[in-house]
Amino acid sequence: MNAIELRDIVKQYKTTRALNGLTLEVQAGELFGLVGVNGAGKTTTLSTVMGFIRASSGTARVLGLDPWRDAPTLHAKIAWLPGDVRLPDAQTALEWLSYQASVLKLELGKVRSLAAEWDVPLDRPMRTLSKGNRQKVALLRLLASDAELLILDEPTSGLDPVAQERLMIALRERAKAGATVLFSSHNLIEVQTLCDRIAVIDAGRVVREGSVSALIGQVQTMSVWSRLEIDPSVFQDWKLERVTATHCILEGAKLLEDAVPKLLPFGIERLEFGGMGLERLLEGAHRAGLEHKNGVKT
Amino acid sequence: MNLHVFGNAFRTGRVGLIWYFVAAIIGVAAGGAGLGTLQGASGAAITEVVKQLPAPLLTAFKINLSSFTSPVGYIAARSLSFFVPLILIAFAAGNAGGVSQFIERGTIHFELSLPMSRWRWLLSRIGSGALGLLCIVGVATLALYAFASAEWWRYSVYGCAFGLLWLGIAYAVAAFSRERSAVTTLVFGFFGVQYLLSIVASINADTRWLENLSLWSAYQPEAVLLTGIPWGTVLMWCAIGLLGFGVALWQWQRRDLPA
Repeated sequence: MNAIELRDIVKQYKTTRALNGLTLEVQAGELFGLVGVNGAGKTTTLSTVMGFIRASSGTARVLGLDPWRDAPTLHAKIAWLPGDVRLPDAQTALEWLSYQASVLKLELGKVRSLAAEWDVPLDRPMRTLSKGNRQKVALLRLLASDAELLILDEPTSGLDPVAQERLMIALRERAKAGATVLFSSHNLIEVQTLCDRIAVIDAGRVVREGSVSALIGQVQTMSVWSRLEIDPSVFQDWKLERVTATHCILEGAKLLEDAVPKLLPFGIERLEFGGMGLERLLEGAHRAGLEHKNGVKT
Repeated sequence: MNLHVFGNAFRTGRVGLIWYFVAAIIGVAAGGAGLGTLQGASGAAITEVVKQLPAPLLTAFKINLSSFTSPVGYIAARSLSFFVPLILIAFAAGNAGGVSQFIERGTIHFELSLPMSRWRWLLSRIGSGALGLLCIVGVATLALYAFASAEWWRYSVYGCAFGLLWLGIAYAVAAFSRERSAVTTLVFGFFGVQYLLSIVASINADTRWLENLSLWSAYQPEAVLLTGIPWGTVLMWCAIGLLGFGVALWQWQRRDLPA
């Protein structure tokens, strides 16, 4: 069963198309990561899922409900952490959390024990808290809930490494207990280690989607050592980096199927295949998106 | 309405509300403080000076020459004609601007992710604003009561209706805005236009029709204290205020608020 289903979502603002036919499925109980460069559409996607914005077209179902129309019902089942955590400056963390807990029907005792565990000062006005501590206050609200779906936008932003690790453990535990976790992050190592599946978003659409191991394990680079000098013009469909006259690195899709036959005339002495790191995957997806946008053959 | 949101809104605004109480008391007390002087030996001289003032200025401060020397006429001119309603408008703009401030400061998404409809959340904020308004008018009315025995309670009804009018206008503006300062500017800008229209209307007979366009022209506190509550005006203000709340709730419910 899918916890989140977005189909052909378009979000058009006056002059900007933030989402451009985005399709995404997140299964229940999954740890799902959204990655993409700045402005790719990650936060807009999360805003759509949360019902903060209404899609211009396309269909969205979250836990079987329409996130825009059924937002109040849905919000009882979702715990949310925004990307840029801002909290009411004048209130203390305890005042704010008490208010939030009363509306969200959270146990204040649980919030207090989490605060002790996370070392969050509850009695100080939030304007005096560091960025990391404010992030922790917002995380307390999220972690104290028994929500079916956890949505986090850049959750580790501002957290120290110990807190980051603690959060990762907490999210894994929640997923193990059956909750679905959807989060966006720029921290690719975090995404790589935590997520079951990821989607790479670029220019408002999903350009790659799958399990992390499948995506980054795909043969995407190939080092070639040849007897004869390689003619770059033969390999215009790939990115070619010449190390020496007879050693080059090719990058792109369908290397085995299409590039290797073209290499045969140059006398292949050795081939080494490599997967692509998440950084390269992201960079490649973004580059392909730009080229597509500029009308260049990809 | 959600009582938790209502309570939190009222609690977080309590310090500001105390300042409005202080301003209302000072406004009324400062106005009433001159009453002794007016009724004393200098009274006739002051009245003569006031009579020399040009008509638009008399209109600006709603000074009625025939009743200026009476307690009701004097306090209506000194306090109720400008200072107290200004406090009510400032409170309305500030309270409604608090909603825009949630967007401006980026704290709105914690509120939007609460399990309640947007209109219910906003209605709770409006309810808290209306209660604050009631308290300010109540304090101002109690302060008025100290100066004379006229039927000051009437002002509590009249002041509340006037405040509701501006609270409705302010919330209608706030529901479209992303910044608190924009709400304040627009509400006071609108008030300024209404105020100017009422003054221009008093210049001569040719411009008198302009007072029909001004909500401020309909605000006549002295007449209320002397002759009774004009229920037609009160109902009209309440209706406009409620219409403003309706517009605010409609816009708030349908508005995109991206994270």
